[in-house]
Amino acid sequence: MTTSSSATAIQFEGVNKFFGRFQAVKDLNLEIREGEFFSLLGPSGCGKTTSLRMLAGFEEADSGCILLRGSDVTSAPPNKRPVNMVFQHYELFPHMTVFGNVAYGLRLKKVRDPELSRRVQEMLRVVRVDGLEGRGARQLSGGQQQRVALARALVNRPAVLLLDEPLSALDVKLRKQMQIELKSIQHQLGTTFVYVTHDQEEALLMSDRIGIMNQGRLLQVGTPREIYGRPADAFVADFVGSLNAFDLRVDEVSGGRAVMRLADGEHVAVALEGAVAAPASTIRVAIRPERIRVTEAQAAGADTGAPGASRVGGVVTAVDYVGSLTTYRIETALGLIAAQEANDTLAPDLVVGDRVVLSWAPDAAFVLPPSIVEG
Amino acid sequence: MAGGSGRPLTAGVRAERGRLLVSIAQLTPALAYFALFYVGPLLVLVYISFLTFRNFQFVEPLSFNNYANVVTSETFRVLFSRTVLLSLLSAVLAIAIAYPFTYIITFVFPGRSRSLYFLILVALFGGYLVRIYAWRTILGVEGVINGTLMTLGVIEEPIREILNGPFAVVVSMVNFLVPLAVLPIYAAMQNVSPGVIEAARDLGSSRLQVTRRVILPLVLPGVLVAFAFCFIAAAGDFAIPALLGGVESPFIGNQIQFQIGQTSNWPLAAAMATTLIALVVLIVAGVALVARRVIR
Repeated sequence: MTTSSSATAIQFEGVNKFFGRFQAVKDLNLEIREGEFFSLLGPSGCGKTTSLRMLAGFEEADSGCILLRGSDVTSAPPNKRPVNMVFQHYELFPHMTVFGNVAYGLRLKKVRDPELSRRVQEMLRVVRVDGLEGRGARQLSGGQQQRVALARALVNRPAVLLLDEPLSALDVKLRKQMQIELKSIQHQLGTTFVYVTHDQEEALLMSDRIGIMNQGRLLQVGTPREIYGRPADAFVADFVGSLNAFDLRVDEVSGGRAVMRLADGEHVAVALEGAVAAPASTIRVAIRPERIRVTEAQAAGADTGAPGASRVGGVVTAVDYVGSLTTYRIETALGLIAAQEANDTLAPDLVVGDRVVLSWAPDAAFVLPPSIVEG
Repeated sequence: MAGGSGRPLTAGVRAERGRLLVSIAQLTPALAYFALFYVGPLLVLVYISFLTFRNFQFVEPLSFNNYANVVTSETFRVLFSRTVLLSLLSAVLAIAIAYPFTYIITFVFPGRSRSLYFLILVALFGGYLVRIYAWRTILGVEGVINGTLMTLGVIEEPIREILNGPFAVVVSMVNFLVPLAVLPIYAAMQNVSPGVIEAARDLGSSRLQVTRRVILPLVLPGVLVAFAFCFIAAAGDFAIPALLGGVESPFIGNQIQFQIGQTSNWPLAAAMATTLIALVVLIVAGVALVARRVIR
């Protein structure tokens, strides 16, 4: 995955950024390692693009500092930083050919032929647009523009490549393809990528680590598995993937688990993992829809699930079929719960009104910490 | 072009031809209008320029005599050179003022650019003759400049040379041309995405290099249109030299007006006008060619 060295490529230290009275970035502290694919993920207006633009030098931090490979670049102009950017709308030079676009940065650095041509051609091959070098920038398709923009930035061998939602203008199919390609190009070159996106699936798929932002604040930094599996707060949990959240009345605490006894003799449990739960209090618990098993009530014997599994009965109120998956919405004693089943050979064939039993493994649910930011 | 991609299929070519026919059909009204009101009168003008002026009448035979007259006459040659030189100077100065102005309203105050642009339009339609007379009062013997200089004691006698000479002509011409230059340059700058400028900065260009390598090449067509607008408007003008130029700096337009108004020698006037048009077209084309070479 990441390169063996764990040297630091980028450090944000207590960075704040205001636009007028609006604070776009609040006390940002973040370390990005050399060679990793790091994504800044969050809804629009969360400060992720502003953070990226401060790295590129298009915005200057009002306080705090930004270190790039150990040297302070907080106030350095964009042309004096060893970083390059891939813009959301590509921003190719319309009066130049593909070759002219990719050669632009090298020519400024006085790189001459034959090295110039060699490096441009090599990079065009990496992004797979070799053969188009004579084409005008205006004559390219969206996907080709994307690749040329990538080559134009990477050919300069930047210390860090910044990508500002580069795939958002592409159609779904091309976007999926480019996600895979970007990731493989990053592995091939070993360049540190800082990738800004609002698409959680994209971030999960591509990143070594993800930083989640909301309202100017960095909420959590972690691997995709950490972010998805153990979100730091309710916002992260909800933003990354879909989620069921419900209140659990603590009837009993045993073996590091809080247990709620249900009227029908079943029980629901959650592993506390360090969270505190006093008996008779109420805690907020979350579970991902795909971690819930749905079984028809008649078929559900006492054998359902592992020992200690949570079980709760309910009635199907909606069935959302999307091809490979079906999402059932089920009314239970805990409220409305969404459960997702893969449409494989074992899939139950349920319709609205069916009585079912939901069950999940002891470690599937987690205690949901309260929101870090208000709203 | 590299890659050697194959030619489009025949069906594609046919579709393209069909589209061309449709385009021509759609253009017909505009073409007809253009032919009737521009090309037609121009042909009449050229025709008249070949006629002979005899006993206050224009008669055949057709000859090049009027053109010979225009080319060989020392007086006319001086008029043509003065017209071309002062017009070139005015056009270049107008662009030198309009370009940074437009740059600032587009890239430095993008939020205000529309209202500032509107102010320029107001200036453009703000009374041509009124402005010329305004310059008379500013530059005249008892004008603002002489008055101020005398009050400050810099000079004792008013400077008569300010008004009624090439200086007054160029100053007022530039004032008249700047809005004309802003128009096409503004339009061209609107098409330069701020992101493209950021991309150029990101790739290592200083602000100056961004202007030289990205903005100027992208805005060049607009600057060339501005030059054509200004140069044509200046070279064809006769009111400014007549009212501000005094006796020693008339343009060729004043001579054309004289030939038509005083001596009724339309064929000679037509020959002058045709020569002027040809000269202007050649110069504009030459400038465009050189500019494209220099700014790639």
